[in-house]
Order: sequence, then C-alpha cells, then structure tokens
Amino acid sequence: MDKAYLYLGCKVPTSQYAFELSVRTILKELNLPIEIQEEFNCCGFPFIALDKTAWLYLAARNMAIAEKEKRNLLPICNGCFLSFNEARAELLVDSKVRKKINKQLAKEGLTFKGKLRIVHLVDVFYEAREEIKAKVTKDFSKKKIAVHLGCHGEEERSEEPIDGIPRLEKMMAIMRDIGLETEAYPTHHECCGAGGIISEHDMPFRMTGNKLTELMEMGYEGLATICPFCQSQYETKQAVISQIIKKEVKLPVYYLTQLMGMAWGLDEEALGLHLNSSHTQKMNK
Amino acid sequence: MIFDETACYICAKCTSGCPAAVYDPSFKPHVIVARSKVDREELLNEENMWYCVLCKRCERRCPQNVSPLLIVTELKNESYKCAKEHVPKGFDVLSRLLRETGLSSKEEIIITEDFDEYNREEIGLPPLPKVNTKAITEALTELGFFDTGCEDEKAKAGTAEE
Repeated sequence: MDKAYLYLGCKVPTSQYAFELSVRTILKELNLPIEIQEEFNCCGFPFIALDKTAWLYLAARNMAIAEKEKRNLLPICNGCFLSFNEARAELLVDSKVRKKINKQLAKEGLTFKGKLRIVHLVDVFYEAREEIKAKVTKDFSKKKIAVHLGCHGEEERSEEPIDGIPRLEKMMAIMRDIGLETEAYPTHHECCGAGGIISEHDMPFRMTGNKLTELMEMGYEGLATICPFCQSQYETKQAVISQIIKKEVKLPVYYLTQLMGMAWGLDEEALGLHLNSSHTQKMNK
Repeated sequence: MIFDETACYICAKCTSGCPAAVYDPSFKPHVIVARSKVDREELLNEENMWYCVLCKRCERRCPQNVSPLLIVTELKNESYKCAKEHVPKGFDVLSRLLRETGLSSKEEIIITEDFDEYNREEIGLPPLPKVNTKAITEALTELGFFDTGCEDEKAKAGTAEE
C-alpha cells in the first residue's frame, strides 16, 4: 500500500483509548507503511452544522499537512473519514472556496491540492487479509458477533466499492477469517445515533438501545465496531440507555481491532480490553 | 457528489427510511425539502432539525439525487448565523474547545468496569500533539466563523458598504 498518515482525530485520543491502543498494536504487527500524523486538528465534521466554510478549512488543513509529506490520510473515525472525503470532493469542485481556504493555509506554508486519497481502515485490513488469517492462534469456536460498520464508513450510492466488495461485507469477511460467526441482520445498516446526541433529546439513545436489544434477543454474544462514535454509543452508554428504555441492556461491544488482537493471542492490555466497560473481559476467559 | 435541490417529487422515500422520523414523527425530511423553498423563515424556527442523526440514509435512498441532509445542514448553518435559540448549547463548548485545543473534545479520565481510572499517560500513550491553535483561530476568524448575523442582514450591510 502507499504511504499514509494515521489520523487520530478528536474522539479517539481524548477518550477512546482502547481503540488507539489496539490500532497501534495491530498496525505494528502488520508492519504497514503507516505513521501517526503528529500535527493535526479537528476534522471539522462537528462544525459542518454551524458553518460550512469552517468545516472545509479544518478538513483541508489536515489534508494539506498530509499532502506536504506526500501521504494519504487514514482516519480511524468514520466521521473524519466522511468529513475528509466530502470536503476533498467539494473543494475540488468549488475553486472559489478552495482559493479562499488556501489563502489561509498559505500562512502556514500549506496548500490543499486534493491529490491524496482518504483511506478506510477496513479496506487496509481487507488488503492484508491473508496475513490477518495466518496470524490467528485462538479458537473463538464460532462466537456469534454482530457487525456494525457505521453509516459514515459505508460507500455512497454513486461510489464503486474498492475491489467491487462493499466495506460492510469486507468487515464481515475479516470477522469470519478470525473465527467469529457473523451474518447480516435486519438492522445492520442502522445508525448508532451518535450524530444526534448534541440535540439533548433522548431519541438517539432509544435508537441505540433498540438495536442492542434486538441483538440480545437474536442471541448475539457481542457487537463489533470500527468507529469511536459508534463504539462509545453502543458501549459506554448502556447504563443510561437501560434507564431510558426501561429495559436492561447488556451486550459486550468490541472494536474490530480488539477482536483481531484477541484472535492473534496478543496481550489484553495492549488491546485496551481492560478499558472496555461492557463486560468484554468475560469472552476472553 | 453534486446534488440537485430542485428535483424532489415528494416520494417521501427519505422520510420512510429516516431513523429520526421513527422516534419523532414530526420530523419529515421530504417536507423539509419542500418547505425549504417556500417557507424557509418558519422552517428556521423549528427545533427538530437537530434531531437529524446525520446518517445520510435520506440522500442514499433518494431516487432524484436530492440530499435532504444537505438542506437540513444549510438550515442549521443559517440558524447558527441568526443565533436561533434552538441551536444546541453543546456547540458553544465545541467552539471553545476548538479555539483552545484545535480539537473538538478534551482529554478525559475514563473509568473502567472495575472502577479503575485512567488517562493517556497511565495507559502508556504519548501526550496529545501540540496544535497550532493560533493559526487556526486566526484563519477561522478571517473566514467569518465567529461572525454572527442573519444572511439577509449581512446582505443589506454588504450593499451599504458597496
């Protein structure tokens, strides 16, 4: 693969430490040409609701930093992934705004050209599929884990999936490769609700709770995510959700990278499993 | 992706797939699309645009290449500029954090199932990188992010300047 900067974003390095730990661990094991981007800012996505130009500037600054070092950008948050992809497309079409933003970036010696690619972690893993499979040492004995790629990680309707396989199917293939059982289920495209929590309404929590309840009823032993917002919504909010929907919600939720590391027999702490708050440790025993 | 705001024929496929509409039936993306052209002023006063969870399902389902999400986003932008009361207060926090740290969240101490507390350092993660917040805040100021004022008022002011 081409050289890329791993973009941590805001949510991962400020609270979703288990994801940062497990991603760092897995990438080291896979020996890919990926380095952490040291100078970065918010991807801009939360500000799209307030001011479109501010969003475009914030996204462009990160992309310009990567382009300066001739790198692609690998954000490990679906929100950042979408933000960069959409901002890149928009800035390439709208030369007036691009000029305006480049005028600001020039003060820091940066230019957004839009030549970089925005890469998704699932595509990177799918490319390394054989190696991922070869490293498996643990037998999950076909544990039934549900997949949740997340809305902003899915392809647009106009977009041809890389290698012709949709990202959701790729994530499921990786899960099967490491010995888990996973199938499509009625709400596998359902939104986690994280995008609506700023409204201070309980609706997003009910949305999250209903999916978790459905998975529990279907006999799933856990859920796998690949986005810090989805994970935080499904994992850390279970107690609050139980109160809101008046039903106990209890389901282990893992990052895909944690499951990969478990399958490879890696140290639990290196995968941040001790940081999960949804009864995930039981599975490993 | 280029969308066509004018092509909507009100099939309501967006609304029938909208997760927010399930929980709040008064939130109807196809109605927002239709009203955005004829009833914008009133629409801007409606609080429930913030119930949108940004899932993009409306635009992915649309047979006419309209993006209801984009229209809702434009309405949110206008509401913010016009300092409408329904703009969630959480955004003030996000804007402050952006100025102070360059990010939209700040380092938290997390508590595990066993009630152990951890920050980045205790987990063995390197410190957060230093962000050039001065350059970012200056750029955002010049791009007008911190200005408020409704579009029409600004347009009037603009004409007066010329």
